[in-house]
Parts: sequence; structure tokens; C-alpha cells
Amino acid sequence: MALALALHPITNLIFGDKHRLDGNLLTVDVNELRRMVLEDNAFDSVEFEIVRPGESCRAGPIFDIVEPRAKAPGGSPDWPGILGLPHTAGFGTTHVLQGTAITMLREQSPGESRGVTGYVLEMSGEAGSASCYSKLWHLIVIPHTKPTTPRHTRHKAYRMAQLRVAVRLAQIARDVAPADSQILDNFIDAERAALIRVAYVGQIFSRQRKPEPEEQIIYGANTDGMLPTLLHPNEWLDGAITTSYHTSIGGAETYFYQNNPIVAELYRRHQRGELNFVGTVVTIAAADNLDRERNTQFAAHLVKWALRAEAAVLTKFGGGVPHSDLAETARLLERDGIKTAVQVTDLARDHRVESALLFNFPEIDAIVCIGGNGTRWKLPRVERVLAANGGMAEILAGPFEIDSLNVAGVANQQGASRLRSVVY
Amino acid sequence: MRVVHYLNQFFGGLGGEEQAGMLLEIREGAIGPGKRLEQLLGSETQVALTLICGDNYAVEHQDELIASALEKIRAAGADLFIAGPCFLAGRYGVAAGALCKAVQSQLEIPAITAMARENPGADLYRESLYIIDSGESAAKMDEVLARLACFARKVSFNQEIASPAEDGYIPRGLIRDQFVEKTAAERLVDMVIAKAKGQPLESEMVPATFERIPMPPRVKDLKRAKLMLVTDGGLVPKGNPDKIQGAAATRWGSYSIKDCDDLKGEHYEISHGGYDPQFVRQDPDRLVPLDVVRELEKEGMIGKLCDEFISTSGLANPLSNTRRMGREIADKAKRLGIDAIILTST
Amino acid sequence: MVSGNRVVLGNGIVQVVGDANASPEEEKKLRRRLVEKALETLSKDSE
Repeated sequence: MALALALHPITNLIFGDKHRLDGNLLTVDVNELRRMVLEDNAFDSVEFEIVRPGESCRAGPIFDIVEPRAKAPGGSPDWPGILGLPHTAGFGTTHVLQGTAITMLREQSPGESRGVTGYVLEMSGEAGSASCYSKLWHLIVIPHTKPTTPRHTRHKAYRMAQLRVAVRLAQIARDVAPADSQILDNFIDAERAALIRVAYVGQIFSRQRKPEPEEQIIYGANTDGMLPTLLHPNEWLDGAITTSYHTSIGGAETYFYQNNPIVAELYRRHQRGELNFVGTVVTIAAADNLDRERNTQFAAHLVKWALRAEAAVLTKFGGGVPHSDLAETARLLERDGIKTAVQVTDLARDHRVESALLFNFPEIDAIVCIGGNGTRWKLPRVERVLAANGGMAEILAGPFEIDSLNVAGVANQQGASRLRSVVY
Repeated sequence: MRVVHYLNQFFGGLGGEEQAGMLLEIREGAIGPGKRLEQLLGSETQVALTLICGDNYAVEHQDELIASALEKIRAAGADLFIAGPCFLAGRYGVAAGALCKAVQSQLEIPAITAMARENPGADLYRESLYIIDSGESAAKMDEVLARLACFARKVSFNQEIASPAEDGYIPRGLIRDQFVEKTAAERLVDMVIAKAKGQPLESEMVPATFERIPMPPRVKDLKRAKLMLVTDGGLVPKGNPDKIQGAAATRWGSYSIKDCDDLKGEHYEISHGGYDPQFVRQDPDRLVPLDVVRELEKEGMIGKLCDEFISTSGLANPLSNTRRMGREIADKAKRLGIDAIILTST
Repeated sequence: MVSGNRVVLGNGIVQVVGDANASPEEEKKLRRRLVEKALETLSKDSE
């Protein structure tokens, strides 16, 4: 299955009276977008703002960040299971407005353990330069839903609006010749037989919590009752997965499913003839021991017998419970002779090595640890603050202290993080 | 730069084991290995004062030693404090560590020592201090002094300290963050390929090993036993009077269930961010099984249920909190004459 | 995996000694079984 990414780099984003793509300049007709979003009567109103890379600007709490992409006719559909029928994603041509993002805010703080500001988009300063997102042009969508809207309906409205805007804008690029293109195909022929076979096992949800009604995570389904399953690498990149509404320590955004760093890196090495990227398993963290046993056994079995992998890299979605499931899956793989490397977050709030891991299996000795607990920033006042209500805007105006784990794009669990823990 | 140096009676040239009881003595300038240390530290640095103390006195009168030493170090206007090298000498290592820790926190000047990894002082103080790994053999004194001097200069000039392997100190078991060139994804794939090829790799985290706690013997007679219920699911009375934090909790609370047969949702709330609390909110007995334990008590299956249950949040809670809380809860249980505890954990 | 001689597996993270899907009587029976199991392990020596 081959996916062609038609890349349209954008270096300027402005409002205008028609959607247009001229070279690197993207013009956005905000009225058209507004009309489209307001078709969903969960919304009272919606605002749009453009934020440029490095701007003295802050926005939050972030609901999700999505890259504008649109499918060319003849290939798989846009966001299957959400915007249309759940047909297999990942083939044909996808037009990408590179360098931009559609960023949806929340009207309410997500609470949980993410603090009152939730995830914050920081575009400048020290915190900004630590985040991948400060280098993008953002079209910030500020939603105002009807006050009586139930939480899950509000979240669904955000998700739908964001994806529709992202697709709509990228559709402008369909008639424009891309600046560059990338073909993604993990075909393995006889000549590559000697190369090491590597798989990716990625968690997309944790059953510590129940999914919200109508929450859409995998092909529009909410993962309830799901067993680990196989996904072609292209499916991750091309709309099969969106991030859960429930946050994951350090953050997970749909942007980094579309630009999945692990899939991208395995593809890169596959194309250079260094390894065979045999495929991926998508999995969920369990809520009870029986579920954990079942899921981890199943995932390991798929890696061994369906993918016939010799090595695997694993990531998790969430905090401690997912961490344990990740370790158990890796343990089973090692037991079956499959070499593993796992990515964990730093769980040590007291900065001690003894607090960092919830497992102790000698065979799991290749661990990438995205730090974050040791880094806080004092965020200064910025020129522009974007939020859905005055109260939140006031808090975000600053100055205030924030954990690096709460700045979007810094301690990202999807593999994009440039942060690491150093033991000393 | 003015340095104060601490030596035990032996390295201070005042005698062997027979002098281990000697009190703290002060000498102007550098003594014994301190002379070579002073040379290695460079011409702009001098050992202004040497403190010499007997190993036994240092251990038996640690508080007095520390108090006197701090006074002398302060008076000498020291910019840096160095103790040892202690090699395997245990009493010496413990004293050196204690002194360095006190100097660091109370005088706020850098304090460094050197000793072998196996020195008991290393175990006690490695987390609080930089301890140069001297190895066991005092025959290596010169080489150790060189490394100690080099590290001392780094610390006093506020230079970035590198890894334990590079800078020669005993790993402290601590974590710090660093921004690096490669993404986590790149590092992950690098690692798995290296592992598959049998090549060396540097794991970014290592598991810790823990002391084994012996299992207490069984409850001999349940029918006469006093039982207590404890939970880490964060169940607290409405209003969370003890303000138990939902994550990394540093507090636990003890709540009356006297004459209570059944926990009612409207009297409680959950302070714990790691699980969906809706079911426990509806019926807290789903977390703290009071209703059933009362029945068992009435039927005589257990002697008595304690009038209080204990609660905290186990979410994202580092051992430095939970070890202490566990000990405190155990102390309370012992005082209340508890024979057994059922801990329900989410 | 959490294991140990005096560890009893509960009914999952969100309702350790409960089961909202069961009838109240069934739930109480489950809770009782789990507590009795706990008491049993307390009155046995390890291993």
C-alpha cells in the first residue's frame, strides 16, 4: 500500500476573501470557515486567529493540533470513520500544507492532573523554542459552544470542526503542483530479506478512564472492547487515528499521528536499506489485570507471528498504568527473542532514579526516557493571549510558572520530544 | 580561593587507631595530603585551614563536630570545603559526608569529598553530595587528589558537571533533564538497532533495586484480630479536610467509621487523578469494603474492625513520600494495636 | 506485574472491590469473596 504525500510548504498565512494558495502564501476565507463550523448547532459562535512562528503569543488550553491535509480523489478517504465511511486509510495522494496547523482551544480547563491551564501553546521565549509547535503557522480556532452543551458533545463538536477546517483548507492545494513529494511504501522484496525486521507497537488509549460517548479514536471508534490490532504504517499517518480527549502526560496531538515520528524514522531507515519496517501494532492500556494479560499477550503475539519482527519499539499513551502495560508487552517480546526498546516518561517527581520506573526487568534495558519533571519555566507576559474566555486569558497572560510537561510539543509522548532524562 | 580541608587523625599525621578518640584540632595551612591537594588546585588557591579529628569522636559526637567545624569554616572565610579522600575507611567516610552535607546546606559553599563506592558514607550521602570515586586503595592517593582537585575547580567555577563516568563521581541516583539534538523516535530506533546487533547502548534510564522487606508472620487467630482498612485510592471525607493531594500526595488521613456499617457516596469525595472515580463515588464500599468487613466482624470472623480507616493517594507518588507515609501509618497501626491491615489499591 | 504472597487481585482499577455491572447482591458477594480471600492470606504464612 503506497501513500504519496504532496508537500506544499507554507511560509505565510493571511486572511482574505477567498481561500487561495499562491506558492508559499496561504490565504484563508475566515467567513467561509465560520459558516462551515456553525453548521453544527452546538456552537454559538467561533473565532479564528492567525499566529505566526516565534510570535510573542500564547494560547490555551489546547484541545488538539491537526495538520491541514486533504486526500486527492482516487485514494483513501479523509478521516475515515469521522468525516466519512471507515474505509482503510493510507493510500493514494494526500496534500499537505506543511508548516501550518489548525489548533483548537478548549473552553474549559481539562482538570485531571494537568493543572488549570491544561496544555499551553507557547510560541516564543525559552519554552517556545523547546516546543516543535512554535515553528508553525497556526490557525487558532476559538470555540464558543452553547452553555448547556454536554461535555462529550462539546468535545465532539471541537473535533469535527477542527478536522473539517483542516481538510477544507488543504483541499485548496489539490489543484496546485506540490513543491515536493514523498512516497511511503514498506514493500519488502527478496533482496531485502537479510535486513532486520522491526515493528512499532503504539498505545493510543488507556482504559484507566472510559472513553467519552461518541469519542472517536480509531477509525471513528472509541476503542471500547478493542483488542490490539495491526495497522499499516500509512494508516497512522493518513487519518486512522486521532488523539483521545483525555490528555496524556506531556501531550499527544493528532498532528503527531499524522507526522508520527516513530513511523517516519522507521520509514526513513527502511528507505535507506538499514532495516525492514514490517508494520505496526496499535494497542490500548488495560483497566484490570485480566485485560492487561489479554492485551499484552495479544500484542506480543501479533508482533511475533503476524509481523515476524526481530525487533520492536514501543510507546505508550498516558501515565503509570500504560507504563506497566508497555513494560509487560516488552517483557513478553524479549521472552520470545524479539529485541525491544521502549519510550517512557519520567515518573519521578522527586528526581530520584528509584522513582522513575515502575518495572524492573533486566531484559528491558534499552529505555528512552523523556524527562520533563525537572524543567519548569517562568512564562513572561506576552503580547498576545488567545483563550476562549476572559478568565483563562487573564491566567495565561502571565507571568506564571509552568511545568515543561504542560507546554504542548515539549515532552511529547509520540516520539517528537527532544528532551531526555540524564541519570547522574 | 580559600579552602578548608578535613582529615582524620591518621591522614592528619597525628596517630593511628589509638588516636581515634581525639577531638577536633585546627591547623593553619595544609597538612599531609592537603599539601599536594593545594598544589593541584593551582596557585590562586590555598588551603587556609585543616581540620583534623579522630574517627571515633567524629562518629560518636557528630553534632558537636559539625557545629565546631561550621564555626571554624565560616570564620576562615572559606570558598570551598574538601574532606578526605577516605577510601574504604567507614567512620572517616561517614564523618566526611556529614560535614560536607552540613557545609553545603548551612554555609552554602561547595563541599566535596572522595571515598570508595563501598564506603558506608557513600551510601548515606551520594544523593546529597558529589563524592569522587576514590576506589579502595590509598596507594592511588596522588591520582585521586588530582581528580578531586580537578572536580573542585569545576564546581567552584560553576562549570557544568558531566556524567558520573566522565567526571569521576559516584552516581547520585538522581535525574535531570537535558535537551538533545535527536528526537525520542530517533533515539528509540538507534537503541533497538544497537541492541539487535549486540552493540553497546546507553539506556536513558535504569531500574533501581530495592531492599527486600521480610514478610511478617501470619495472623494466628483472626477471630481475635484487630483489623484496619487502608486505601491509596484517595477516598476522603467531602471537603478533603486534610487537603490530601490527588497526585504525589505527601499527606494521609485517618477517618472515623465508628458505628458506621456502610460508606455513603454523599459523605465522601475522591482526591486521585489516576482513575475514573464515578463507581467509587456512587458507592465508596467499592474501594473501602466497610460493609462487608462489618458483617464479618458481627459474625465473629474477625475480632474487631478499627474505628478509623486510613487514606491517601497513590498516584504518581515517589518513594520518598510513600516510604515515609508507610512508616507513619505503620506506627499509628502499632499504637492502635492493629494486627492486620487490608490495603485496597487502585 | 504486581505479585506477592499477600496480594489479592481485585476487580480492576476503577472498582477494586466492586462491580457496578452486577446486581447489588452479586456485588456484595464479590466484595465478600475478595475480603475473605484477603483474610485467608493474612492467616497463612508466606510461601
